[in-house]
Amino acid sequence: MNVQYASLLIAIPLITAFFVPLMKGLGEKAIKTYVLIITAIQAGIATWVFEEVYTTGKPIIVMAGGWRPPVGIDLYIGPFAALFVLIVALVSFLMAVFNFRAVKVEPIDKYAMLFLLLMLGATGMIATGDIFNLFVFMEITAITAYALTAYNKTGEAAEASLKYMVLGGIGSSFFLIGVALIYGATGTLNMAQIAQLAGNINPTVAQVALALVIFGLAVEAELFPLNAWAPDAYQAAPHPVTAMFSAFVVKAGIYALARILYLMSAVGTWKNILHLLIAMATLTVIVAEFSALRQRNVKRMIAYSSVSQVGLIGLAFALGTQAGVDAGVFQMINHAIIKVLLFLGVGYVAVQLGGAEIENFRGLGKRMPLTALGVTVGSMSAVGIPLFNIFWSKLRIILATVDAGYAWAAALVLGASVVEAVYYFRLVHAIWFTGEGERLRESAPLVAIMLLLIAIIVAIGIYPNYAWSLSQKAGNDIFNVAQYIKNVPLMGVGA
Amino acid sequence: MNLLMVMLFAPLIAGFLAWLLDFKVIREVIGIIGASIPIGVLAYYYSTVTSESITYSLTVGGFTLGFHLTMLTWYFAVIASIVGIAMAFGMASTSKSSYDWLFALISFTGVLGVFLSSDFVGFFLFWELMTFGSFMMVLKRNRHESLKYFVLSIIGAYSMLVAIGIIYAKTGALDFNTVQKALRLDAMVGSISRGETALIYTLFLITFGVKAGAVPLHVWAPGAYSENDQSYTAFFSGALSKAGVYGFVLLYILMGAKLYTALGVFNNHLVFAYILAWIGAITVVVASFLAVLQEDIRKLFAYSSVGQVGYILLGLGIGTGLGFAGALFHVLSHAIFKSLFWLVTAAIILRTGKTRFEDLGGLAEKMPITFTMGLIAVLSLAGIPPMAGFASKWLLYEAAISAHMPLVAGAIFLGSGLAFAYVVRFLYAVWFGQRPSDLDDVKEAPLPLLIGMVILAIPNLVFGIAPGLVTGYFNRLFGDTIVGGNYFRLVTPTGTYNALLVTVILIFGLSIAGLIYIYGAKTRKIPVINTYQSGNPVTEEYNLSMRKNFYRPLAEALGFWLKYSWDRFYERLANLTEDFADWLREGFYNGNAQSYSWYLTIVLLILALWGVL
Repeated sequence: MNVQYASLLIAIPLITAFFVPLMKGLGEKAIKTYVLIITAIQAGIATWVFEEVYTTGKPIIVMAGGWRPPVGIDLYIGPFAALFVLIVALVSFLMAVFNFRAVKVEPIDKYAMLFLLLMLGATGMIATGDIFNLFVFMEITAITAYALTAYNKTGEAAEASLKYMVLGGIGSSFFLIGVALIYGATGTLNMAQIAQLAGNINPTVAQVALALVIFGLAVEAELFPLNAWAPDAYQAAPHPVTAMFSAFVVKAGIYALARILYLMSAVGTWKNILHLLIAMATLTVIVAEFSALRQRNVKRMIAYSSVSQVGLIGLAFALGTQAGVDAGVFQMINHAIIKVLLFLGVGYVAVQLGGAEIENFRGLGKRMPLTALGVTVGSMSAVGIPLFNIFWSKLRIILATVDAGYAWAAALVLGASVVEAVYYFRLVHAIWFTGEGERLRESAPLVAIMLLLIAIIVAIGIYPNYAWSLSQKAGNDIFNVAQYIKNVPLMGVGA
Repeated sequence: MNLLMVMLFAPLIAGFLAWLLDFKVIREVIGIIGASIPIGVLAYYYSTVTSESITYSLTVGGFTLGFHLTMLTWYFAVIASIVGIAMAFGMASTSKSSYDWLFALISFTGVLGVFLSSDFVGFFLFWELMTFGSFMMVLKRNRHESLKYFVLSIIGAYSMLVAIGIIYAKTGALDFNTVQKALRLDAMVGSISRGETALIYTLFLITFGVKAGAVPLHVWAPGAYSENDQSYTAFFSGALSKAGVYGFVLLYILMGAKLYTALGVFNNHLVFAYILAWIGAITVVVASFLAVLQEDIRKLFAYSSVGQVGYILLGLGIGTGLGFAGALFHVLSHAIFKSLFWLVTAAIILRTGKTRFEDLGGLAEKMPITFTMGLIAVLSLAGIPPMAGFASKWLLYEAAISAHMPLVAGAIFLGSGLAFAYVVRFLYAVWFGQRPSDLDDVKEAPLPLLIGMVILAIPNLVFGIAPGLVTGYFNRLFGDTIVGGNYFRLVTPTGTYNALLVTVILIFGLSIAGLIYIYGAKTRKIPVINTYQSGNPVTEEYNLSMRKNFYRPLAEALGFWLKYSWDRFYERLANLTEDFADWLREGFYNGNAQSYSWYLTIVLLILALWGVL
């Protein structure tokens, strides 16, 4: 099959999203089924792309309209993008299943459209090879995310959405200024060509541009102190959307950050940016972990935990070493899995028992044992217990951090992880050893999803070799900029 | 499948199966089988391991996890496995929960893995696994105590992780062999600075200190040991705490030369070892005093356990071959006598449901076999020949004296005196004296629990009468004659102990006493009063008896010291942390969009100040 069909990854969600309003009359079930089918198709295509990229070992370069880069916009689906587009599609599919249970608020057709566009935006951010195109996809993601945050139509949701919008808006404007500076200095928007020319830019311009781009993306990537919107938005958004935020929306932001960071690694003052990012990432972890400690609302608690884990990924990417990037990608995969599990479990409890307050979790082990098992496994994995997946990626990140000479950052992050262990195990204790209750019927599809995720978590925990080799390839895709430039068939302009 | 891996993962898999197939009897049988496999494999490997070490490696997630069975690791693994089987038999009686089986056996695999790992990744992995398993056992019963244990343990584990990271950054290796070579080389080259070496040492000290329960990191032990299934505590206190000891041994092996050159010598003692010796001595004294003052059997043995591990650290800190021999021997004897104590405690709690001395008494007639087992444990702990506990303590005395550490030796003597004081209390208050009327229909402990006790009692006797079996193994382990003599006779540069002779004399003496008792003594009827009162009436407001407040005068004498408590200090620290967390959250995530925008501005300002905008 022609690899150019990979452009369907962008085309299908976009087209189908605009068809949703036509289905309005068919009712809630039909629309949700429609979303489920679309996400399944997307997952199928993503699987094919993933197979293609990993069997040939070559990235797929999709040239829009047949124009060769840097004149045309290209999609660069290398090992990283192939992997994460697959994760985006699979998570969306699982959440499309969850939609049937979790989303009751009307208008469903708007929800379905935004849902597909959110998936599209993240896919685009990950797959694009053009920096302005990246901005466009980032805006699509962000704007759908603002709308979805407010979707529950409560006061808190509106407030959270507004905060998100204000901060996200400021962030993306600065991002745009940064892009403009880069364009002004290099005359190109193609990422490969920017990388090629990065060494020749006036160092001051390069540094300012990079700083602004990083600043803009740090809002999406939830780095301290630009992440203040995140806990509110996570808490207010519909449960499937929260899982998507945590599993891939923030990941797309942090990927973009890392991608641009490494593309610009030829810039002379690059190391300074790394120092700044390491400080921000370390503070992200610390502040978020401490904030989660006395949280009564479990969904919000896990939101803080998500912020802190993403800070850990940021730390890994900011190290500037191959080991760090590999470890960061590994953590991205693992974190996506466990946070889907956790938000699914917590969201399901909130739907069944009317809220995600810790009181509802007492006796959960007796009331909804399988959901409780899911939340428990997710919690243990998040803490970094061996035999679960996060153990390996956390270990990798810490070793890479100390190896890069930032033992203090590793020590601080680990100190914050102690706090994480405390709040997660308080939750586990509340679930299994307090409270009483009648056993409720648990939804079979959701239980199946949770068991599947538990199986993946344990499988990676026991035998991480496959996931680790994927992470290494994907990490190399980000870190090895020279290879990236070589892969993109530039028309011989510039260089 | 490699036999070494079978042995390592058998308990884990058995635990998982027992959890999955949660049926009565089947669960217990699977658990016991899983817990017995390690000792079988170790026995099979005995003859091989004395001539060459057995290694195996796995590639997991880009790391090579190495395992090695050497004479040293075999020794530790055997101890853990003996205690592990005894635990499994004990749990078959005391625990009816598949949850317990799962996590107890997970921690069993964790302990074995810690001993067998030959690289830091595996060591850390199994260390965490062991902590996690034992933590879950406590979490079920007491959230507060379990979190205290877990937080301290995880701080320890993460300290180790940072230390491993630093070693990795400096040497580029994670396996013990390469690290050892690199650090030995570095002892001469000196590229790792003194400060960094001290940092690594301190980090490891925290890690292993927490697990071994060294003062002031011992505060988790009383709670975690007592709020548990006591059969599991046998393993927890007998084998799991030895992982900390093993860590210190490992520290010597890997970093000894480096620590010596970097930290130097003080009064003819290696500084790093001297620190360890004093930590051990302080632990012995503090924990033994606290053990004496307890009113609850479980708390008493918990503190006693902390104190006894202190002996081991002290022995390692002496730093001579004899010190090592004493310490390693005490690892064995503490494991077998303390685990025996815990199983006896498990039997008492199972049959009476009581844990405080004031509620117990006169059980010797009701539970004669359990009493005999308890007596063996008491004799061994108090260091009375011919028990294993005497031989190991004797070696420790010899080592301290011949290394010219009089103050440390003093700590051993004081600790022994105190140990005698608390076991006497246990002996009398539980087994003799008046029996409370509600204990009249107490039955003997169930059979599996008794089997567990016997498994532990036999080595107490065997290694007591023939301590040369153990020291002979050490001689081969060190490749040098540290302790001379034969199976029954120990010879050190300063003294000789003939266990067989002592045994024979003891049996002879006891026979004479028995003959006198049977033929000579007239039966007299006397009222039951406490020996402590010496026939004097005791007033109500100062009512001390063997069973209640027996050592109150001691507590009053120590009043000044007891005002200070590490436990309260940590609690306060934890509360401060929680308050700080609230302050941070309320201050930062204050819900105000304007202040959030300010954060953005501040970051932009930082970017500007940093010299660009």
